[in-house]
Amino acid sequence: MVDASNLVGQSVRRKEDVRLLTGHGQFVDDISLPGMLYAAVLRSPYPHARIRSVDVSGALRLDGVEAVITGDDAQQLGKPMAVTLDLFTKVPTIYPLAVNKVRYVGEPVAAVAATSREVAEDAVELIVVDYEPLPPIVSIEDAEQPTSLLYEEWGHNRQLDWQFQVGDVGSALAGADVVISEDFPHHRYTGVPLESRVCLADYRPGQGALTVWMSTQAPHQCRTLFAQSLGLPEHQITVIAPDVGGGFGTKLQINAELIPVLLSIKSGRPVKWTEDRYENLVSGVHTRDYVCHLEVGFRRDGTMTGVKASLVGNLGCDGTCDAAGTAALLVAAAYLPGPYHVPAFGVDVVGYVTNKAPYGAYRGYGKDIANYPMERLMEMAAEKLHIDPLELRRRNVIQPDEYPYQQISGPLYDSGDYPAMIAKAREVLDYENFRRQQDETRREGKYLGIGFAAMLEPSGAAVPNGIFNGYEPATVRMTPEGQFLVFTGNQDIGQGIETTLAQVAASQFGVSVDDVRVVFGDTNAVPYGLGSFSSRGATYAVSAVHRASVQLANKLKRIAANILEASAADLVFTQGAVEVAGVPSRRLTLQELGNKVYLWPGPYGTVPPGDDPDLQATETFMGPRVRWQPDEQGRINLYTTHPTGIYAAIVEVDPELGDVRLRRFVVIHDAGVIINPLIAEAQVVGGVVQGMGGALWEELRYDEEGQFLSGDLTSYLLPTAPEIPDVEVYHFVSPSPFTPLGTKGMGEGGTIPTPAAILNAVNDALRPLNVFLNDLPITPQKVRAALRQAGH
Amino acid sequence: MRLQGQEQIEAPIQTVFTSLTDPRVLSKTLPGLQSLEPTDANTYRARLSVGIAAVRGAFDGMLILRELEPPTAYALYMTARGAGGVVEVTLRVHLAEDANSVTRIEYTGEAALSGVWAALGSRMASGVAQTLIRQFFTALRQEVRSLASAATS
Repeated sequence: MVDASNLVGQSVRRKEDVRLLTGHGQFVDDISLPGMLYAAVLRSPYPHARIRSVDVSGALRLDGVEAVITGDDAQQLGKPMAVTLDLFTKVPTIYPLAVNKVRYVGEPVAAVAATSREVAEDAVELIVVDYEPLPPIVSIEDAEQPTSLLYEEWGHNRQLDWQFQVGDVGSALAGADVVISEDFPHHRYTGVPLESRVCLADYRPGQGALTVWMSTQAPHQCRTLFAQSLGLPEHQITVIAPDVGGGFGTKLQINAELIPVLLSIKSGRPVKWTEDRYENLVSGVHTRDYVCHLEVGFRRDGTMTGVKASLVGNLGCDGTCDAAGTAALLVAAAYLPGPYHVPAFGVDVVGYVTNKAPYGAYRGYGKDIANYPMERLMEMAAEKLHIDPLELRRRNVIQPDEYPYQQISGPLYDSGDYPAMIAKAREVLDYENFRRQQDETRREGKYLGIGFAAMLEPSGAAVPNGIFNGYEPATVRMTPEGQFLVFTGNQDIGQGIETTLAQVAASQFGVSVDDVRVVFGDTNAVPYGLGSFSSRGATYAVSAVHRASVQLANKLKRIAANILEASAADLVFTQGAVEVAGVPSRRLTLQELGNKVYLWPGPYGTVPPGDDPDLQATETFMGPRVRWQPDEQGRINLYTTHPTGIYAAIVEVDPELGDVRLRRFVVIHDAGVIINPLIAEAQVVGGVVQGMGGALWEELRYDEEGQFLSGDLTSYLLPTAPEIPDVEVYHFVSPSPFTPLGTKGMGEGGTIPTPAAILNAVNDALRPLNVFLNDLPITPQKVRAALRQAGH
Repeated sequence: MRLQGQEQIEAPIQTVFTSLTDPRVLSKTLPGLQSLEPTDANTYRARLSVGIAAVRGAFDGMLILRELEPPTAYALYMTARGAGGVVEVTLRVHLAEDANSVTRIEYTGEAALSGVWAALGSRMASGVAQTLIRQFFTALRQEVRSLASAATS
């Protein structure tokens, strides 16, 4: 007997892997159209310069060149780039190709469509641009002064300027026994998807119709942004995202994809653009790059009295149209109190535009910014207060019986149990024993360190004023042959929704995941949903699919009851059939049921009065506790679910070489009800590895002149298997009261606390040598420099 | 990127200085140079094609010799643009002749890379610069030798 909910919670093997692992995936670059041209892009070598002239005549003379576009064409054929998200920000008027000015190294200036990629690249070399270099704004200090302006019309370089306070922070800090205060800088790094951005644009002048195949996380929003950025009627635009080779937040805008679209409009032919790795690193979205000044007051017993923060972000040229990153600083501000009781809280946020690449989203989206300074500071406070760092956290965390918990800064936390997770961490790490070992090995000249970070992962954002506003529809349909289709606006980007959404639907119909096909990534096929961002799948898409499945299951039961002359309440779905519970002889297979409704004899006589033969249901899930109307303190709540965790890193530092080795990495994790443990664990581990990359290796470097120095994977170092220890994951289950299945989106948790845990561990290892590191990534050069400075 | 080094050429200082500042000699000795046309006194329009490791491509540029103090010193300024970016070189060059009529050349200066060159080439730029400078002086020595033998024959 198959339980209706049997598939939720099972480690079903991923349906999509057969296709992907046998080379049968279809990515945008695998698609070709007759008459298709290839695009190449001319990019600025200057971080900041006026464009005096662009001469494309040489390129146009080259055989095989069909179209060349510049900023002038972008203005004539399109409109200013549409805004993705505008929350208290200044929005610049910019185009996909530079108009009058370039604002970062790598900014597109002109583009060519030709009969081959080679011809297109040769033609790009023949375009002559006359630049007048301007003083570059590289650092936050440059932007503050300002030595020059990115957008002269603003009169300053601030894109975001926002303050918030609840309670009397000044008194809270003044009344504290100890105040810990520190600047926490964080370097620039980003997600590096295996598949870079790829776009095939096909504009048909005859129909005025545009079809865009693109590697994106959000096809529907891209369709709307294309309509707004081109002045085309949206119903004439189709966006298709087939298999997508990774997103991580970096594929949520159309700034680059507008270029092949404009080339297709200009040439009247299909145009494909395949971004190379240099282009992806120099102009794909960048993230992090901030300094957070944090002051936290503590009583002698370790409990917090108040938190005061000042967060300053280096946003590159833009984080509103070119990409959607600026609001990450606001998410950070709202979540700085983290999982702790904070009696008073104040934060100032400023985001400066600079001559660096666009500021976008990357696994974390500000939740990492909230986490890193606080979790670093907690270990500094533990040392100062002579309280064990896990114990200090235990004394401040929200207790399990306090949920749903109204955090002082606005968010409403749904569920969790930090004290139990802390206890589990102690046990798994054999913590007291580790501390003894640590002392012993230090005497042998081995420097082991342990570092912690508590994790809070707001998931499923619903942000006002833009394309990330947080709702999700799903349609579930039964075919006349008795199989199921799930139509979702959620997008498969490798995270396993073809399996997990199938598990959720299949559970309602007593069928296997192989009887359910998840349809996604085609704006002509699926409802207007919001794609994949903010770990929203298990919050929004799962809930919508579940509710639509329940609704369809009820309709199928009513029809089956009519045919079987039974009561719908007595029917159950089991093994591909619907039957009277306990009477297996009175059953219809789903194929028989579908056939009866649609074919033999058909709907009249099978469908009961009040129902119709349309065997599908659509439900739209909205976050039940999202609040955009500020309360009397000015607080709003954007996230529906909040996975929690305690992370621990054990490292060994070689003081002679400055080398940091990861010895153990332990994750105690709670994402509510887990649909597929195999996939959930992979999400955690993948995120952790990206956090490790940011902590130890990955950096998007600029020199002081604004030149970009990390243009390939020998300068931008990604983690590889030998550096990564087994990530030990332990799940807790605190079901969310705000989703129908108790699930919580959970794709970012791994990335959020990992950098803090690792740097805390490195500082713990080097404590006897009086070394304190405060910069990421923790390169051997930095470790050696700090040791030298301390006289070692 | 800092450029610094010294070279020796077995020729009198006047010959070496003349060769280093003579466009006819430079057009034969600058690595990858395709054309060098004077546009003004001591100012030349240059077309180069350079290909070493990731740094390859065609450049359009300007070569200016200035602060000429024959035969002991001059400054060289070069800017070259290609699709991949811009290279700017500023060099101070000092010459001195020893008792054996060997001229010692000391140069110090800066090279700035931008665009793709900076992003892909920075790590190997100093190696590329050294290779190009070595190629230049090897060619220059040959040129000075052939000038000397032409003068004596």
